Amino acid sequence: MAAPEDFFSQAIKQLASAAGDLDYRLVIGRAYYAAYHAANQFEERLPRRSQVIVQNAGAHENLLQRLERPDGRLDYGLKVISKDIAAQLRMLKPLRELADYELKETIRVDQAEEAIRTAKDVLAECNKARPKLKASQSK
Amino acid sequence: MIKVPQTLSAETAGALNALISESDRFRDWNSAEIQTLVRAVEKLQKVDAREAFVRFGALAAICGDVDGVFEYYKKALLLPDVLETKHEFWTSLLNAGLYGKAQEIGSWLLDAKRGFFQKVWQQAVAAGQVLEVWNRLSDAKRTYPELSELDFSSVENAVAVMRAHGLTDSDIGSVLDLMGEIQRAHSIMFSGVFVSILRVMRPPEDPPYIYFTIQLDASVDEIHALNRELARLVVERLPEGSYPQGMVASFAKAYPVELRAAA
Repeated sequence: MAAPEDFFSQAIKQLASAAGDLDYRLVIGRAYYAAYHAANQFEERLPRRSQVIVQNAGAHENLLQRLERPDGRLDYGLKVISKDIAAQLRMLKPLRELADYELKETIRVDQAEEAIRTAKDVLAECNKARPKLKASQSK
Repeated sequence: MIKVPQTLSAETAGALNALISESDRFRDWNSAEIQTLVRAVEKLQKVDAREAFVRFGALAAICGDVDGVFEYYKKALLLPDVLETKHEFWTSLLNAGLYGKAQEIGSWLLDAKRGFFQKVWQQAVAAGQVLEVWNRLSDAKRTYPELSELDFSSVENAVAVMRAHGLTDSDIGSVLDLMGEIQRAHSIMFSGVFVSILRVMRPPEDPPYIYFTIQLDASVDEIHALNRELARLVVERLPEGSYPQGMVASFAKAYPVELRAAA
């Protein structure tokens, strides 16, 4: 079993001992997946899930679009959190794609640090939503 | 003799460029360095009012004074040589982070018959006028055959992605405007020659999209604070509370070796 927080801890550990481009790529990947899994769990726990389905797109883009266009009947606070998580994950996604697919790019420490900060904020936002999710499930 | 005004003009332009090269941070209008320049521009105003208003506008821009930029722009437009005025204010608007407004003037400047296409097209793309540049390109190539020797494939690729998503230049402008607002709140201009770096992202699992990064000479902590603020404004201000389909933009750290914004 692994939790989003485990990916995040791993990203932090890797950054502490990172020595160059390849390490920064790994850090960004772990940070992104910490945020992605946290966002995915948040979205799966919503009492009313978005029905948006994007054809010809993978799980990542589909998750983003569901978060961006939550069900209209959803609690206002949860809608805002959903969109906020989406906006942050949108900014993190290209860093992960540069890290994983663009081998000719030089990946810098500041990009790894930014990925970690963004992932931390996404995790915090998902945690902030927990009481609201619990309250809405008990109604 | 017109030697004096030319010298004053060159001196004030040089001093402005030196200020920007020194730091991307917005200045305080009442600071000694700005007030020294204000006095020099006041002297210039006696011999060339248009040049003076352009310089005042540039100074207002690097102070993040939006009202000041527009006020001096209006005054300069009343005087002859509107072409140069628009070109110079376009740069000032970009320095002040007024990207949407700059797009309006950019469209005018990109008309091949104005004579600015070659000077401005790359910056126009960086300021989000990807479709505008592409739509004007064939006309511009007829006017300036040497443009045919340049590689516009990156613009073409971005245009294809934009069309697939129904994304417009003004959609991009609406995001860049939020970024400009955040830049002014943090008193920082873009770093480097161009407003942003545009990439076409082609992740294997998802549809392609375009990715703008505005490079800033700031700490990682500050860059992240700006990005966090951007996410908040995207949700609050943009239609649907999300990035327009087919694009994303964020701030990134610039390295000192990169060139800075020019006045």
